[in-house]
Amino acid sequence: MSFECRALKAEVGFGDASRTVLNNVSFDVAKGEFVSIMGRSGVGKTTLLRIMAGLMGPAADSTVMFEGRPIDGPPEGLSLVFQDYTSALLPWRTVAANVGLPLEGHMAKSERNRRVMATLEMVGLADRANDRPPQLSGGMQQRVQLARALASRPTALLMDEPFGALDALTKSDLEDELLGLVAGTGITVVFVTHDIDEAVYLSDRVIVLGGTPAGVAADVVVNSPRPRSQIQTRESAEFLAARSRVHEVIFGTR
Amino acid sequence: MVTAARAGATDGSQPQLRPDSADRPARFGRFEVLTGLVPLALLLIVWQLVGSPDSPRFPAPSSWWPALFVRGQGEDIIPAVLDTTRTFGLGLVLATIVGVAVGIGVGVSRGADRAFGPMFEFARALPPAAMVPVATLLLGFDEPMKVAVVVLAAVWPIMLNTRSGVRNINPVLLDMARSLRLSPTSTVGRVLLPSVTPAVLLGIRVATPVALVITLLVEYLTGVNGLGALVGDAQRTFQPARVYALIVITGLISLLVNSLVRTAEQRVRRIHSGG
Repeated sequence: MSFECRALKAEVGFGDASRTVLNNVSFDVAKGEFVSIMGRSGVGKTTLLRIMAGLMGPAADSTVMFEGRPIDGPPEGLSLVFQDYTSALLPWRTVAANVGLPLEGHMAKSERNRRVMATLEMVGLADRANDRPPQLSGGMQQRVQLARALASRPTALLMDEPFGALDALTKSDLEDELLGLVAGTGITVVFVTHDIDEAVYLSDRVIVLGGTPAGVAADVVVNSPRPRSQIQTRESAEFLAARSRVHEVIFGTR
Repeated sequence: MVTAARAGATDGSQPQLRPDSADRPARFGRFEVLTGLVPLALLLIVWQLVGSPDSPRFPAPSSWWPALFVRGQGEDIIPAVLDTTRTFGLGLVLATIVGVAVGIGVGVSRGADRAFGPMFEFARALPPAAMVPVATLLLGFDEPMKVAVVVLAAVWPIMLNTRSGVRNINPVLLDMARSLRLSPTSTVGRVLLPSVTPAVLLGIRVATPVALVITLLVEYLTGVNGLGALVGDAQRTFQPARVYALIVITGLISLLVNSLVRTAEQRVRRIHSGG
């Protein structure tokens, strides 16, 4: 099992201003599974992801495990991709140096360079290795962030609305690229988004958060076969069924 | 000299964050630079025409340069320039090291900020001139005393700008550093310091003239070496032309250092914005 969440409870704020955001959230994510987390804005998706990334602690008596070990701080083997690529990349470093950042001090320079170039090759940015991020388009910068996340060869990727700030065409390009990158690698992906179509298109399962404090409102399995395609998959009965189901849970049956 | 003492009290106490027009890369044409020199040239010409070499207050500009070498003086100029530059440079470097270290400390930790804040406010409000007697008492009439007073005056703009630079770091950047499992040293050296560099350089730019003014002030007040001490001597021995000449030399040093700092700042800003 990649992630195990049992009776997860989360509070934000301190003292009197503290508020329970998540309560009794339980789910598992299997190794190699692609799971999306959805829910209305402010429901606690990002809080849940931050807890899974080890950036914040859950309330007492919650259990959150990554690969069988309780999460206390960012675990090894797990990479996080942020929505805000302009802030998450270092503008004074070249693309290659950004991607190599997590590897510094962990391997010889030649080995690191090889790894960086191979990863940049994977995301199609080998020819931009010596540019700096602000010189790249938004889609390319998000590819750099993806490359940096993959460079340390993680077993799981956590992504916080990674394509939320991109235009629709770039977004569908990157969706397919992401599917291609993780296909057959066994990398687990937990993907936070507020786009129902994107969640269903990418995922094996969509976990919908709802309520105040939020719990798991639905755990929808998407049966569309892989590899997926923007045209056939989106027209398939399995896709449409899962999409309607998620829609129903979020908006209620109207 | 009174104006110099007063300038020391305004030490850029407001952290200046928003880049003002001076931060934009200056693209002066050759003629625009000349335009900027016109008023100064006019002033000097009028002065030259009106002034007399014997005036006790406004000796003509043409008499300034020779006055440096009157009566076998002159060998003292280069050592004085070196003394002043060394005190000023050492002071600025130490102020930068202390200011950045303390600024990062109080920028990262609200507790440290609350603990040290009032003390800093008090120390910052002290006129550097008032610190000279204390410094001479503790450190004697020597170079360390001069440097200490300069550091005490120049450290604030650097510290305050570093602190707001740290406060303004996007939290995503710190989350990023944590999630990449960077060590604390790595986080400071590879993420924190580079991202506050523009703020630090802004602080240094504000601190540079302060440091120079205070260097001269201390030299003038204590008579310990340097251009300020020469100015004091010249004034006490009724050599006004020599005073003006020394002031011009000081101004040129200041101009040179300022343009160096500004160039560095612009270059760093350009790197940070991807230009």
